[in-house]
Amino acid sequence: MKTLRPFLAGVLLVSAAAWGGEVADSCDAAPDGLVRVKNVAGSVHVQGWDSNQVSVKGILGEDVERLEFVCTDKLVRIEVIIPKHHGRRIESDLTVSIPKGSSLKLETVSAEARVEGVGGAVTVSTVSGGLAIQDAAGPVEAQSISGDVSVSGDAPSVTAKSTSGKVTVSGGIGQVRGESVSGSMGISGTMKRVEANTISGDIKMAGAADQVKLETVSGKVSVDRVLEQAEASTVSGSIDMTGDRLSAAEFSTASGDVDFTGDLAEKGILKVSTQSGGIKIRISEQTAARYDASTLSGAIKNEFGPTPQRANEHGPGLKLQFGPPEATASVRLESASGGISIERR
Amino acid sequence: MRCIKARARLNDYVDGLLAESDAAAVAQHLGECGDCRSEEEALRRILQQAHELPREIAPPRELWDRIANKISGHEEAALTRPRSASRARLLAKMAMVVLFLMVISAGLAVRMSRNTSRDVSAPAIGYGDCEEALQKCAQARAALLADLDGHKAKLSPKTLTMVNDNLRVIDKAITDIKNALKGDPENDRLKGLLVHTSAKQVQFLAEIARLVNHA
Amino acid sequence: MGLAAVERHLMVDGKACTASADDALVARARAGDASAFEQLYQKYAGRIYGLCVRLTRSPVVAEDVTQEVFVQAWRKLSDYRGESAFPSWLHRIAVNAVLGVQRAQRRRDFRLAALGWLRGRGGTSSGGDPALRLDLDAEISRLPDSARNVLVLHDVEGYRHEEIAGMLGIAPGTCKASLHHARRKLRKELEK
Repeated sequence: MKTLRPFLAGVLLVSAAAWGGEVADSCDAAPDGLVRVKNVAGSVHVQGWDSNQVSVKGILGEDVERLEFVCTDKLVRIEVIIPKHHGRRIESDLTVSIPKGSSLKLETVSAEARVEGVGGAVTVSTVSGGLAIQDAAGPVEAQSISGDVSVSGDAPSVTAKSTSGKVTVSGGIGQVRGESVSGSMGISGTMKRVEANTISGDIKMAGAADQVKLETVSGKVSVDRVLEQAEASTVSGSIDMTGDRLSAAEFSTASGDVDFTGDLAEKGILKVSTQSGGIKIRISEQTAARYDASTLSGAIKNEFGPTPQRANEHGPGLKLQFGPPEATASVRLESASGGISIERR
Repeated sequence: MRCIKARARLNDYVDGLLAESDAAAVAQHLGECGDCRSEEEALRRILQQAHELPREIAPPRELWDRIANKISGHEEAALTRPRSASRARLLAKMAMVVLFLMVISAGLAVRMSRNTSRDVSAPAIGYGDCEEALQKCAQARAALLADLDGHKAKLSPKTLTMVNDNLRVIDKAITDIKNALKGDPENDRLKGLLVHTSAKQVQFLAEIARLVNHA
Repeated sequence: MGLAAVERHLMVDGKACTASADDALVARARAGDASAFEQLYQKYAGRIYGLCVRLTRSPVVAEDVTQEVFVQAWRKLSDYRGESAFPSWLHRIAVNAVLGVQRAQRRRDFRLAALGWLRGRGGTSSGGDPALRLDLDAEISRLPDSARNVLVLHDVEGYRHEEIAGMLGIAPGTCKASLHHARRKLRKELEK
């Protein structure tokens, strides 16, 4: 198929200001090939469509050299070329339509990026532009430094990283991996496994995940709900977790408070330890578990009846051990100076 | 005998472990030197207090019952169970950090050599314990910051602010972890977290450096 | 020389005047007399527990270790031939048990920092400001395992370098270096 050239192409233009900069081009493409798009500034909108063609339409900034559009068998490359010494008007807005079975690799610096309905693997990276990936169906990798990242869809895996931007992931996803320094992380929907790691960003999960593994230094962790296994650790951040009948749960902080509402499956193990953070757990009466709670200088409250004993005769520390001997589940709560409260759900 | 020698022998002197001639020499110096005398007194004070610490502390009453049960039933006494593989996790984490540092510094060396006149040598990486990993991080951090400084002009003010803000966030996190470690120095999780967070800072700086050199 | 030092010498040297009373109890315990063993427990549990608390930094872990020490002692009574005083023998079992725990220890330990629990404890304090002692125990608990082991065994419990080296499986030179380092660290923290 012939490529359409901007009709001014044959004419030598002296004044860049006169360059309208409109582009339109397209070529045949494999239904499941790879499409690479690079645009430094402006915006890029990529959408999956039913046609076995890649088409690009847009407006190039006045200081842009040209749009490179190269089609080979399984690879289509679209790049906004900026001359080495360029002016400031390099913002270009592109709309790219690709076969919906394609994989996509999209790179921008400050351009906003939006991807919709692309079914193959999607990899997007930016520095400060925002990233929005919708209707994801294949594995997604999205990375930004200060731009916000948002991914939604039903995908086998989503990896979303940002340094200071917000990260939002939603949908029915197999494995979610989120990473940020100061950006907050919001995950919602139905996930098999969620792993999130931030330095100061809050981590918030709503919906249902089979397993979660969440780490932060000072961010707040809040989860509603986790179904099977939960691991959360912070230094000063608080942990607020709601769970189902968990087979394993482990929460540790140094000074963050831990608040857990949930139950344990048979042989389930719940371990919470803090240095100075308070520990509060709400478990239903029906969960038969052996409890082992100890603090050095905090108080221990227990709505199930048994009261704590001194850990040793004249020394500091309280400990509380109770529960039916035949119980297979176990709850272990330790804090140095935080208080422990065991409550009936 | 001079102060340096006397101080080096002070502990053994106070413990009565020096040979007679050495002890006499130290004693003589102490008689003449007020500073060393203060040192000696301070050391003796600490030792005195340590000697006077109560060594007998009554365990809880029911401990004997537990022992009696065990010796009559000859059950296997179970000591505190080792926690699940936290050391293995720490080592795995550190291996990851070191691997990643290798990748970053390799990539870095390539980019740096392409663009800057300044010699930014990638630190030699090896597997080691926390101290080593932290040192590598510190070296990489210093090198990257220096390089970044030279290219500051290339970054927009907004980006510069963002970079500084995030560096501050990570610095604060490192301080928080170190403080938590002060209260719990043997905590493997916190140690691993310290290394991981330091490495994160290096990673962040490396990304910025890559951008800067790309532009 | 305070009473503590005298006691220490007695225990470590194995020439304790309490030894003869122990001999009888040990003989009976070895023959299976649990009440004799209980008397030995009543006599020495405090010392063992105190050592364990300082070394493990956790009253709860120390309980477990103390229990383990006496259970092991009961089982190995036939091996004990009186070459050292009974409490010294117990001490060695305790140090080994603590080392094992320190190696395996994975859960959070408790700090003994700034808590009044050492006030009014039994033992042989011959003066000195109680507040100072609290801080000292807190700082000792902050030392890393190896430094703390050596400092407690040498300066609190009164063992000699060669003995400590043997118990901990390190060279006497290393033992000395650890001790001097630990003392320096304590001084630094306490003189702030």
